Amino acid sequence: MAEDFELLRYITIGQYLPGESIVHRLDPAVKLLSAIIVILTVAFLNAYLPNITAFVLILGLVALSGVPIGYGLSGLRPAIWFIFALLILELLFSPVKGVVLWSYSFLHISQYSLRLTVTSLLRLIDFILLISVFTLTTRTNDVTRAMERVSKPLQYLKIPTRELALIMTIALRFVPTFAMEMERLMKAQASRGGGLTKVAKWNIVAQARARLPLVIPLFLIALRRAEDLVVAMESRGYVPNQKRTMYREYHLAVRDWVALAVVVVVSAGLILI
Amino acid sequence: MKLTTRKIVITAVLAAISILLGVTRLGYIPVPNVAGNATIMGVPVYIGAVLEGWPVGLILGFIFGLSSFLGATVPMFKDPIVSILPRLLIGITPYLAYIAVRKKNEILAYGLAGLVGSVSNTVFVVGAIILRGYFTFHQMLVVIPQAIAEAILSVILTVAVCAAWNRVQIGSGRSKISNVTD
Repeated sequence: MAEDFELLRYITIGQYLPGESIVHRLDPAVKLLSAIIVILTVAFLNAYLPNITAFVLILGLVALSGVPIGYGLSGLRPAIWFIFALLILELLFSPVKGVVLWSYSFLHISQYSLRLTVTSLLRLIDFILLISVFTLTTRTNDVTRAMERVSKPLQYLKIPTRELALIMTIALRFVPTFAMEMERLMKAQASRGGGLTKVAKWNIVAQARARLPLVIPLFLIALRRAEDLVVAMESRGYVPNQKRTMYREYHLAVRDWVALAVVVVVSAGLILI
Repeated sequence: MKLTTRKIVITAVLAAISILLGVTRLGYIPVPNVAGNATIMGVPVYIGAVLEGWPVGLILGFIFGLSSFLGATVPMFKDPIVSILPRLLIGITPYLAYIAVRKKNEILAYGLAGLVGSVSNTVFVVGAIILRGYFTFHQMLVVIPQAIAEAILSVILTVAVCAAWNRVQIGSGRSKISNVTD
């Protein structure tokens, strides 16, 4: 019962595994850029060989970073049966292309659907591991600064990257605050006999209706807090769209350039094989 | 794209709500089909677009897509082309719907923005799933009941929040400095 109200428990944003590995010590912007390059590369791999190679390389990266692999994959656990069902669906009902390996009335496993299933499973694990390695070895502040620095060239397209980084920083700062507000709202509803706990899980209409008295006040509380923050920021002299200095400066070391070069070469290799 | 302090902060708090609804699963309503969940995660995007204009909608759409990509446990949503790219547009369409009808009836315009946002989310994401070859068009037809549920919820939420918020605004004076500095 009590755990129904403990929203903060689910919030894993900003979790950081301290360590001294080479992955920890790389410049955050280099890590982010590398992660983006690898994710985009993996998203476009279709054949078996490049997918399996990428998977093995990513396992190597996880080992190098010192993140326990079970911990990295822990986000997968609640959804494991769902993923399993989905993969079966994909295996049996995808369009029939290539040699049919097995069929029973309307169910077919073809070479195409087998490849699609295997590659999408590998891709899912690749992505989860990559994202876990990045977020678990990088502090939240470094993540937002890295986003700002990686997107810097976009400033020439008049995209306000500094403000975007500020948005991310404020948003991440407010998530635990709003989680606490949400807990308060849920308890208030429950004490009046409402709330989510009494509602049958698959009763979609009831589930939806139970959410309205939680979500609408949450929005209004959030917007009111935003007003306060606007006043606070402006009274301290914040002016948007201006260049500003930072408390911490980053300098790229040789290892950062080497890491980036390795990532680019490996990604190009994966696309070419 | 000029951002005022107010736009930055409102985008940030709506993004925080979007992230919170995602990680606590409160933004998802369990539905037994391929997509797994009906979602009200898009609602902060539509509300941002209505209250502060399309740039805010665009940024919120990006953050929504990013959090959907990072938190996805379903293979097809671990694909940035399905989870991020279509979401860039869903902050823009509700804004267009809103300004088109705003002059006639404010409340109707909020509702239409919620509806258009939700429908464009469904259409763009399902379109991307089909284009990437995860499922065929006929397999994706099962999402229709869920799409209707999502549309109804986002209309209710968008109207409720925007109407309540704009009434509050009339009562209490709000900061105007940000409008002067740029």
